[in-house]
Amino acid sequence: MKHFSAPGTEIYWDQAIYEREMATIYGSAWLFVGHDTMIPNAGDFITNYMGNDPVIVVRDRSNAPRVYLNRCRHRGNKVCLHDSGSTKSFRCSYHGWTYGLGGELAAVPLLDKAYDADFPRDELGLVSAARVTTYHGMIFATWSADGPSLDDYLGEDLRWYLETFVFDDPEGLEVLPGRHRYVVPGNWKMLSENFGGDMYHFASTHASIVMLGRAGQADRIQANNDLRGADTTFYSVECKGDRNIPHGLVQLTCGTGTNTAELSQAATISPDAVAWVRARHERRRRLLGDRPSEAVAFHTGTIWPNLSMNGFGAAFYARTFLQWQPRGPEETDAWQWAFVEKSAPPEVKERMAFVLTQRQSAAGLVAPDDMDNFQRMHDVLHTARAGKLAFNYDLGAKGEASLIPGLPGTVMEAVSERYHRSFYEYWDSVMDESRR
Amino acid sequence: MIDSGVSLRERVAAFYAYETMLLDENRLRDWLDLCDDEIRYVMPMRETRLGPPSSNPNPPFYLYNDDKTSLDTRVARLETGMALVESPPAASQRLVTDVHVLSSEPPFLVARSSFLVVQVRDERNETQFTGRRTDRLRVVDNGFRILRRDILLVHYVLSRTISMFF
Repeated sequence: MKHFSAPGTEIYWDQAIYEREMATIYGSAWLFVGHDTMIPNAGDFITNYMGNDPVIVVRDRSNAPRVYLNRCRHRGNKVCLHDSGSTKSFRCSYHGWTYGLGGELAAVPLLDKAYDADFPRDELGLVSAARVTTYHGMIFATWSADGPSLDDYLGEDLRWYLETFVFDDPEGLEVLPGRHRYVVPGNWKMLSENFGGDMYHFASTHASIVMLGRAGQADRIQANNDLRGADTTFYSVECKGDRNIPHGLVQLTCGTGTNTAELSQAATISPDAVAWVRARHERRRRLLGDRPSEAVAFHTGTIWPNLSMNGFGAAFYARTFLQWQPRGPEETDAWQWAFVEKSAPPEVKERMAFVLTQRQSAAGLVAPDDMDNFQRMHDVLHTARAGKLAFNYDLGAKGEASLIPGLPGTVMEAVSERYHRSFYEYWDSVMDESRR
Repeated sequence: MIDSGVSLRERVAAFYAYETMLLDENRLRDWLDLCDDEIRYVMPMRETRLGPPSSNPNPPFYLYNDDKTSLDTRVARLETGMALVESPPAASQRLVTDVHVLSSEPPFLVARSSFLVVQVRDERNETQFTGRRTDRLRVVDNGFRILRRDILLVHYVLSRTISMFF
């Protein structure tokens, strides 16, 4: 049995550690920056962050997504000030340097009169991400020219779960209008580890909605916890990418009882909803093939380092991607986007948006409980006695064997902190490397 | 019925003062009684956009997009005693001002108001939300019922998650 030595809690408050994380972890990882349906046409853009660096994600004239550091090469002003939009160029408000959709420095005021002929205009385009790749509509970018491909970074195991339970709709996912943004008092790692592996907190933290569910007061907004049959079993899954990059999935749901419960729920919506859910179940059954276990969905997850997923465990729950945007060691902005399967009937899309709004969203019945915990942890994080007192991450079996060897990844008990341990072991190895 | 001796604006302002009292005193069931059975309670999230509005036809991802039943569920959650925001109980104080009756077509009227809410909990954690509301009110014998409330916060980034009513 491998001994796990939990890191000291200074990794949640130390400014120097934070800055090293931004340079090394966020400087080399594949980071989610947007989705194809956020920028459908040439010139469409959104602004986002890669770590703490602001970036522009724009579709260029050849319809390829491009990712640029949002910073003028002249005096370092931001060149794009909007959350989203459509444009032909990005013009700096300070002196008017203007960049094209390909990042090139297209116009410089007084270029001919005031600059020498050898002014290196070609070298002064917007700084571009080293690599940009789209995976089932999800746009990822990295500052690192070498390192694993996105496929290897995600790893074969995680990709199987994503392709079976996230991107299985033949028409793909499409984003809903609206992006939630709220401040979380705490370090980004606390959020990533929660969504990637923490089934343990649900009963205690979210006791209020559990009570509503039991009392039948939440029938319209059921999640996979409510939608179960006699044969339903939950697991968590650890999926490792290239060189042990830790990705985690929570509440892998096995057993056909969930499908039966979803069909009953669909019947309360419309005949089209029933047909749509039935086709979805059949498609997933085909994708499962002869693998054991009747796996039907997972609910939440984290793709290292800071992209989390929620709402995948129930058909009528909008799929949500949450980005944990680091704002210093002790503060994180939560950004949340909502998606629906494009093939869903309109009334199903309406229901999905409704259920997400009611549950894991900034004003929902679930997310605020988590944020109250993070505030309270933060209150006693960075103090003289508490500041270096390690947390405890001992929960769950420390063995290596998967409970369902026929499924990809390591399938473990639903309640476990194994993912947390892998998360910090990997974190430590990356940070260690950067120290050398 | 509209009393000729008291202006409509004053009657709406008095209604809001009563509503504010109920919310600040955590009398959420009494507050729900002020919501019409047909209420729509809507709060979008602000974003900035360059150029023409997005042509995305999908239903929006709002902070609130509620009917009477879902508002009731939210109240029921706060009443369980298990919602972390209410254990220990949060204190809140609302200021509602700038009441302006935009139009009146009996038995309905449209009124705009501004609000500031301060919520305090766990010793020293304080949050403020501020914004404006546009209400469609139904005039009833003993006052008004809220038929539709559109709430627009001024914030682009919320200073924390929301577990309260506006």
